[in-house]
Amino acid sequence: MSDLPTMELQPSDVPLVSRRLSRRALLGSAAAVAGSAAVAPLFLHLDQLVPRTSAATGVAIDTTHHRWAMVFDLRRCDGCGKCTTACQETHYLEPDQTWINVYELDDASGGGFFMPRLCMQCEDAPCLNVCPVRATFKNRDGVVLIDQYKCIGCRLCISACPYEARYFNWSEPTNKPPEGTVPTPEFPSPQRRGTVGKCTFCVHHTERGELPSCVAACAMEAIWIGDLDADVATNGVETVRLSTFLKENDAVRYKEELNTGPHVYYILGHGQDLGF
Amino acid sequence: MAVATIPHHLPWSSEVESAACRPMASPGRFFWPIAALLAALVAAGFVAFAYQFLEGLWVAGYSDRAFYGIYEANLVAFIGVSYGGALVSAVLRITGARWRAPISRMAEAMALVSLLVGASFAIVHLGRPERVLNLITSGNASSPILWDFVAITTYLLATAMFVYLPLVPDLARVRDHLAVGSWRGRIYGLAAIGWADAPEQRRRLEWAIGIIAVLLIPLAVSVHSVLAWTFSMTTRPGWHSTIFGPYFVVGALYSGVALVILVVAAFRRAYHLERFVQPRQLLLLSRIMVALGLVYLYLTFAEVLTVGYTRTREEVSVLAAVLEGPFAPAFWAFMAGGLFIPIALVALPTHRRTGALVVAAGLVVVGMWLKRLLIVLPTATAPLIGDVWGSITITWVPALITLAATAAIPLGMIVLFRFVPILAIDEVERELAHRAAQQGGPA
Amino acid sequence: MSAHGRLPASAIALLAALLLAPAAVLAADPIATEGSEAMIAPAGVELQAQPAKDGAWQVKAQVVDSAGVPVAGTQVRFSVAVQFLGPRRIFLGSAPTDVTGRAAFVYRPTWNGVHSLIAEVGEEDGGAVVAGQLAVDVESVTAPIAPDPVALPTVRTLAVPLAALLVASVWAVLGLVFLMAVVGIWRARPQRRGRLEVSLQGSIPRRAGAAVDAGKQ
Repeated sequence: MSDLPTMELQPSDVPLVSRRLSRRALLGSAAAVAGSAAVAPLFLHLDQLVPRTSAATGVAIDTTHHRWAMVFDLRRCDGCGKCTTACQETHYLEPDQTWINVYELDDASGGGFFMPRLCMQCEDAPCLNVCPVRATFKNRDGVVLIDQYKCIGCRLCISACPYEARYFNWSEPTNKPPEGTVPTPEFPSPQRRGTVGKCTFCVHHTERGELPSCVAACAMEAIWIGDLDADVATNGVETVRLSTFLKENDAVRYKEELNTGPHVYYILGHGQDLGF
Repeated sequence: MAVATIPHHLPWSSEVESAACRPMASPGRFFWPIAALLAALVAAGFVAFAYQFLEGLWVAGYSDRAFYGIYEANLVAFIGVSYGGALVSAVLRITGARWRAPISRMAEAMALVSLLVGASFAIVHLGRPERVLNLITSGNASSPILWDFVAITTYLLATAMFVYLPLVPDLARVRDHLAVGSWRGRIYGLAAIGWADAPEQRRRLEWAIGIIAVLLIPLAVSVHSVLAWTFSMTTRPGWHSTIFGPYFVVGALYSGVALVILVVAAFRRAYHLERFVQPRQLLLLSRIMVALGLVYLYLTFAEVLTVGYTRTREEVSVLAAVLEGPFAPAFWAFMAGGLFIPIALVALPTHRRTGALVVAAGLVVVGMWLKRLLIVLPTATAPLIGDVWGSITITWVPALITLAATAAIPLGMIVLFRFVPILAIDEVERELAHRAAQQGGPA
Repeated sequence: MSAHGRLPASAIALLAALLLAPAAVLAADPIATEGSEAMIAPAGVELQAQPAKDGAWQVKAQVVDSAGVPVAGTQVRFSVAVQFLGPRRIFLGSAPTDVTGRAAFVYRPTWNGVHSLIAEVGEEDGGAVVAGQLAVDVESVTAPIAPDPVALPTVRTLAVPLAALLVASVWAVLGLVFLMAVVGIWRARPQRRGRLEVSLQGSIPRRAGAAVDAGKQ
């Protein structure tokens, strides 16, 4: 057998520098622990507790059940964008945040048409399925809402939405409502930096018996708000039985094959009622 | 037959130990300058993150039509390169590849460090990182990001165990050479949990390492599959593909083995491990890398073929942007530099020299990072309605943070090897003994 | 939109019958026909509704003039009043009155509750003669547009518990294996006996430079 080799490494071999480093490392980690203890409260309800329903503000709320839907009559849409402006004013949005966005698209005959697109409030909403913290939820009337005090800003909902209907607050909002406005999921103003927002079918209006802003603002009376349970829809001027209205006008839904169950219907057209 | 215990004072014991432990005591005169530089980069990354935290994600170049970008690509890439460790440690162990002994410690350490760095991008890319605990208090079980969280933490736990358990005999060695009663001796003693190479202890250790090695493989597959499904469980063109799970896993293994080659080559040179880490290990790793690269090439081709042949409008507009459009230079650079050239460098017999292998591995690591960008960016900027694409803005914040993350991996490793031996002393000695026994005498 | 209060159909029929009685008495009088120079202005409209099959209602409006004479050949516009984001009215359709002054309309309600039917006659810009409102109580009507069914319901319910079980078992295995290894190694450590190190075969001497017999291997 061979000799026992001696092991060269002795405590004194360790350079003085690294010994000091070890002591320093210990002090440093103690400081880090103390520091994180000081910072921990940041993770605990730094945000104000916000009331969940508009009922907290004391206004009478419509308590019957609905199944909200909207109809866009593209025979009447002229792409004026008043719906977009009204929505942005109502919700104090940034210029890029077009919760209702009017697209100008080409049709099969070489012409063009305008298509406003807002949140489809899907029956089987992909955004709801993928939200990791349940910040996106559905109220009992089928409207998909966002709790901006839960949202962690992962943007998976933006990725999952087939209609690109969601908009992110990439920076601190500059357009703010009057001081003292308490944001709720039904009326998320002021919005929070780092969270997502989208069309809410103006539930803060409808629960008070008022029309959504885009419906009221549309000069062509092309936007209808309806209730699938009560089978009625109105554009503010005219009121129809929703099922008949959709059937008689051959209304369709956008990207229906994706099976998300959208609650927005389109009566196809290219502004022909206005002479386009 | 009982596990043979190996006497610790074989002719080569002191050589293995001294080679493995020298970086702990005297890591060379370049250690401090390099550590300082890397630490400065990492600190700069933290500053950039603090700025982003206060200002909002717009500073990282995001917009509503470019909602995912470099952070998401880094998340995939940096967790991906950690897979080299899983491959070397777990897969090669289970398949009985004894040659992995000298590099297993470096590979495992690299896996742990890069996994931590990669997982941090999951926090960096959030709009409200301070609310990340909502995942626990208000989690949604059907969300891919929750699955990411669960998979990554489980895999991290398993990797940490898989670094620690084989380390126990080595910690015992270090303990034995420190003065009894010194506080460092006590810390190492505690960490070594009384290891004395007793047969019962050896049995326990091998049993635990074996089980965790087997568990590590499906865990590794699950992590990158879940990361892939975070993209593919949407209906976005370019992401909504059934191949994504296997695609990401193979890509991770491919880039991971490449990083293992780089790490091994670098530490071999820096810490003079040539006696133990020989060109043969690098060559075998390169062959594994080539095999994985060929599989990745096949999967890429399958993806392009199925979309390109049927040419549905939304899908083909993304594919065209990648193959012929604005992303084409990057894509073909990846195909050449990330696939064909490295495969050629390794496969051609005249180029089996360490330098060429390291160049090939470096090309693969960079190329695969570029490929992750090519997976994220085209689909994130592609329109779903109409045909107006989003635009990508490159700012200093994500560039600096990416640089900091790249620096954090070597920094983490060189710091780690000040505290643990760079070679798995126990494993290497047993491997050498095994070879000596086979050859019928000392090596 | 709200629907409150109920009226039984029989009471409505009785009421309608009472109102119709004067009209029947005056039925013998000549009725103004379409195209006649002197149009007799309709002065009253009464509504009557009977349930028909398939959940529909047979609605009849009786138009009479100020003298109580039935008016034939005028258009009766049927609407239903709803409370939907304000008081609104849905136009259902119009039908002309026949020689007896009755206009008929089949109403298919599509929601449950009290339906306030309205029948109007007269020129719209000239001021319509608002007619009797008739409340029809509807029950057990299903909404024509049902919610879209959610696909794969069984998979969706089973997936989460199964996944949670899988994850929990992986954590349990990892934790158990690690703890058993650590505890087992700790327990099996060799014990010191006095100054002399007694260690199991092949173990490291605990102290560097300790006097270990070279022949002890």
